[in-house]
Amino acid sequence: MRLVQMLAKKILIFIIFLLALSVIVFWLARLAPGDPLTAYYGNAVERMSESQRAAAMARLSLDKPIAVQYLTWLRNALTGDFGISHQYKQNVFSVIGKLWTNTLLLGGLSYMLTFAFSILLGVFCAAKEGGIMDRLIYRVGTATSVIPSFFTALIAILIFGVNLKILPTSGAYSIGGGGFADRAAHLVLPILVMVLSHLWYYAYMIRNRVIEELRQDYVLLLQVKRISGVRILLRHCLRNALPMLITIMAVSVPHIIAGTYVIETVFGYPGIGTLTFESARYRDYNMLSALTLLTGIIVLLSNMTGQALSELLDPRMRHEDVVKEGSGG
Amino acid sequence: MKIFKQALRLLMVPALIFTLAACAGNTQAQQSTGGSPTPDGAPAELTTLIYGSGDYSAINPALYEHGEINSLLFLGLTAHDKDNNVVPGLASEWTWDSEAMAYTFTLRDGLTFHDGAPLTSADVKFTFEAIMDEANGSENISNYEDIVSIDTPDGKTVVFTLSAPNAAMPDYLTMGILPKNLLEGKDIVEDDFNRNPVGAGPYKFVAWDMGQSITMEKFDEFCLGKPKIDRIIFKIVEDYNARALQLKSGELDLAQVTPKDAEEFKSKEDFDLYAMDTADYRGIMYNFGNAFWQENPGLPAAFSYAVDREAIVRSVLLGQGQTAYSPMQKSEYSNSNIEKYDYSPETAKIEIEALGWTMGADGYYQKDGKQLAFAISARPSDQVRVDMANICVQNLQDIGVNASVEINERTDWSGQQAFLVGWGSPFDPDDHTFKVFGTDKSANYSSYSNARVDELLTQARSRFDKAERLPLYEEFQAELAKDPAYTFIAYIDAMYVTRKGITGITADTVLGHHGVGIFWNVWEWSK
Amino acid sequence: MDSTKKPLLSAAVLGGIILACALANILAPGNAARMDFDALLAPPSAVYIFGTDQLGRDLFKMIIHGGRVSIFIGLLASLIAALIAMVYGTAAGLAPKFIDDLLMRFTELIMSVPSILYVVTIQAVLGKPTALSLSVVIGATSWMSIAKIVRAEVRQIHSSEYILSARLMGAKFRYTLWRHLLPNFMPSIMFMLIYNVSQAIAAEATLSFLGLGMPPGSVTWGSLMSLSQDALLTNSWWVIIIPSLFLIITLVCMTNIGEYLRKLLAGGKR
Repeated sequence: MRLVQMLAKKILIFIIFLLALSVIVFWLARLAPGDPLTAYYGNAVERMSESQRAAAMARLSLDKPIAVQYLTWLRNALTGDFGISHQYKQNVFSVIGKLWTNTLLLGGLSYMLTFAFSILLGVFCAAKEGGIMDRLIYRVGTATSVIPSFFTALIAILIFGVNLKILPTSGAYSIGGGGFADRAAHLVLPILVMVLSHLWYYAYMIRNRVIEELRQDYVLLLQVKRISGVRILLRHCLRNALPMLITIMAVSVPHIIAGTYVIETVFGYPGIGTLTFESARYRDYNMLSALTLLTGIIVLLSNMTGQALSELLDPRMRHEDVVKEGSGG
Repeated sequence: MKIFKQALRLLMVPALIFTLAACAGNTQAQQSTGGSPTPDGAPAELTTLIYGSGDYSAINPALYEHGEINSLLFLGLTAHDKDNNVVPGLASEWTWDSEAMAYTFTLRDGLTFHDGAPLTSADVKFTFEAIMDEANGSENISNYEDIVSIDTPDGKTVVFTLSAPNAAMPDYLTMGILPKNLLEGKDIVEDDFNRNPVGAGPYKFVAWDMGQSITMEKFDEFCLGKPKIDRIIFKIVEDYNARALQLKSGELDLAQVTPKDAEEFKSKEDFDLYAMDTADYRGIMYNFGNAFWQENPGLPAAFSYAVDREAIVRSVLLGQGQTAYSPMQKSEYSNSNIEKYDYSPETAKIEIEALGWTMGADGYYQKDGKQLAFAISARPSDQVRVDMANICVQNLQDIGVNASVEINERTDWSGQQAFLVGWGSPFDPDDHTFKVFGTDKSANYSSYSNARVDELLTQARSRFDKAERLPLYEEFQAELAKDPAYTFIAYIDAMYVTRKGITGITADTVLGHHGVGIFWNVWEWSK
Repeated sequence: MDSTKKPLLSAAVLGGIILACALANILAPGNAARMDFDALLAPPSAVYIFGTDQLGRDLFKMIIHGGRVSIFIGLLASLIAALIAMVYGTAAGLAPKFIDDLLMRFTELIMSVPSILYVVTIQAVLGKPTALSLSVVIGATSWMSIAKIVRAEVRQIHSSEYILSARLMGAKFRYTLWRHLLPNFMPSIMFMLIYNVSQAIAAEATLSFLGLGMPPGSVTWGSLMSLSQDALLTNSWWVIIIPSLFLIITLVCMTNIGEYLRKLLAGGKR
């Protein structure tokens, strides 16, 4: 019963969240001064006479007060109709549908690889704390983490695409559609750059956290008990560092999603990132709303998951009342 | 221990993908350039040309003004030859009846669209009526304002009745013709046609991979000649620097690059560099609707002496351009015996002082307590214009005018003081002249008004004989120089780089705005 | 890594750069974007120490003038983000569940809206992007992750005994924050804060690259990076390498110093 209640409460929060998000985006997008007709009509807008403009605004339903526009949009959205993208002049979801897999591949793989490698690297450095490898990796890592990703991308293109000519430098796949291997080839450079830009940030955090753990008293105890270093490291220290790690991973999802657009732009990789950027810039309201809701869902889910997981793993994270309930029975 | 194993397992998957990708990348990259077999592995050796293009959100020549791809997919009643003269396109001939004030065009026999449907006069009528329908918001509407009615007495004849004689109309009729039966009754702006265009041009649409590429195949029944290159692919590469990189890496066969990147290809053996002349010019447009110029007439002429055009061509264009003094410098109607406002800061100062301005203590001119200051607006997206604006501002600042650059995404046509304008046409001298410099005409964003100029331009467009038009246009340029609407800065060359072996590009053709027009004879190209 | 080793080299280099930037008007007076048409793309020489770019602008001048703007934006943005994050995170960490949930959901709300929209909107409202508006934008869009960590750390510490005893003794929120919580979560977020400064400077560079930064014509390290990008294929190495080198060195020094501070403060932890 309690579980159902909790679930129901979570779903309610979910819905309220999305509603609030849609209101914010709707309002924010229209707040900025600028011509809302450009997304649809392009350069022709400048030549429009007053009557033409009025007609165009009415056609696109942009002349009604914001509240009315919002309610109309909401009504349509609840039936699944998120409207036409003013820029592409197609249904919003048909545009998104063509591109979201690209970003999913890029973002998803980058995410997994970043964390996988950063855990390895972080633990390795923690184990070798103070040693030559640790110091060297620190120097290299710091340098790579501060270089803006677009610059790294350009260098990568220069080296791999132009000079060595072994990897494609733009697009998600070769012309005419490619197979698995082709897609993968187009992903190598973008993922490489994404992972490189974020790797050290997380690796270092993990390294420090693990080192902190290593300094704890229980480690000494375990060492006295003749437990192997590796075991201590992984079974105990890493495990204790997990709550922080999980929180970070959950927090990073939106960060990595947002970070794809720079990479997508430089590599000409068509995806949701560039779509979001364009729709914000050129006031493609419907597209923006749809994309933001999508992002919102992902952010909310990942954060909720992160929070739940970390509370599960470290009882100290829970709220006192839950603890009291549990012990009270 | 468990965690360790899990971590390893987790790593396996992406690592596998990674290695596969790296290996595959090697073979794949080599295959993705020209001459490759089609994806389904057909053994036929298809010649393919990959062109680095900007992105499109919709393809429709009737609605949108800019679009290199239109010259491949569509054909109009008329076309241009390599010297930009008007020649027959879909129409084999046309006549002008000055009494009826009408053009009569006769279509060729056996014309079809890419899908096999016959192309008739009904399609022509449909196309232009769609453009002239204000509800469609076509960017081209201003060229056809003179058309009063379009009649189709039979399937091969189209009659355009005009409100006034217009010698330039055949030039404007290079507009691609749309198929009526695919678009009639539909919303022309939103219809799916714009993503699956069907025309009568030398290449027909095959596939559009959004954001990535648009693939086209040759149309054997093209009425002006059978194309030689089998496939042309417009690969979407928005960034100019990326285009240069991809030309080098072999991912592109042809692209327009910046003058800076063009330097790279000058000495390379595998590439051909074309520095194409264009009719595309840049200048400072003064908004005479703004109170500042109304209260202080005569300043544009003075400012024109202050701009160091030669330095601009040298630095911004790396020498790939020419200093400008007239809007039709590249045409046969050019008049070089006019005031060119050659760079002379001293003259500029004298002129300014002659208008009543005196040097103030702050180093700027002032009159009646007001400082001589104005702002040139420019869009941030075009770095060349921004750089030019900055140099003009520096030139003006040096002589005591407090000029500044204002960067705006959206141009405030009515409110701004000046704008870094750019356009030009290699075609009929009326094109981008009458509608730009004529009082209250549709492309006259500067509110420039000169009665003599109006007279000359109107007369010139109603004459059909070059001998009659030439003196009129020459006088027009002289008038314009006396009462400047713009401070002309420079014409910009278009730098095209192609892989060696591609023939057919006419190096002497004067291109249009943004270097558009290189594909004018694409069916004659070979690889 | 030797935790007692002072980052003297980093401090010296960073100090030098900051000093040069602060004294920009004295070291290289005049308009930073001044073009010299007789010295287009000139390699480094006695007159132009770092050479000039394609439009004849003095690279050295641009770097130190640009540095002023970029470092200013970086510091201000980071400060704004840090302040918001600390207050917000602590409040959430100490608050009862309902409010905590609300606060967290709110951050997620803000995080879900693409930051581009904020940038575009704020800039459109303000008309022209300025150093101040950019700092606000960058700061206001980067505090969320720090706040979450603060909250997490506060939660973990919150149930520690000495906090409980402090509260039992009647300590108020501000006191607890200042005296107990701050010193404890400071080390954990110190790295994030310093990193945030470098992120803010990099953000300014990225925004310039995307065309959303300072107006074209103003000189910042971001605009210099764009210049480097344009020159990638040319042989003018001084345009490609020198600006990026400065950016990287500055950021690396900042990180080193931040690291040192973190270790220093961690000494008195728990």
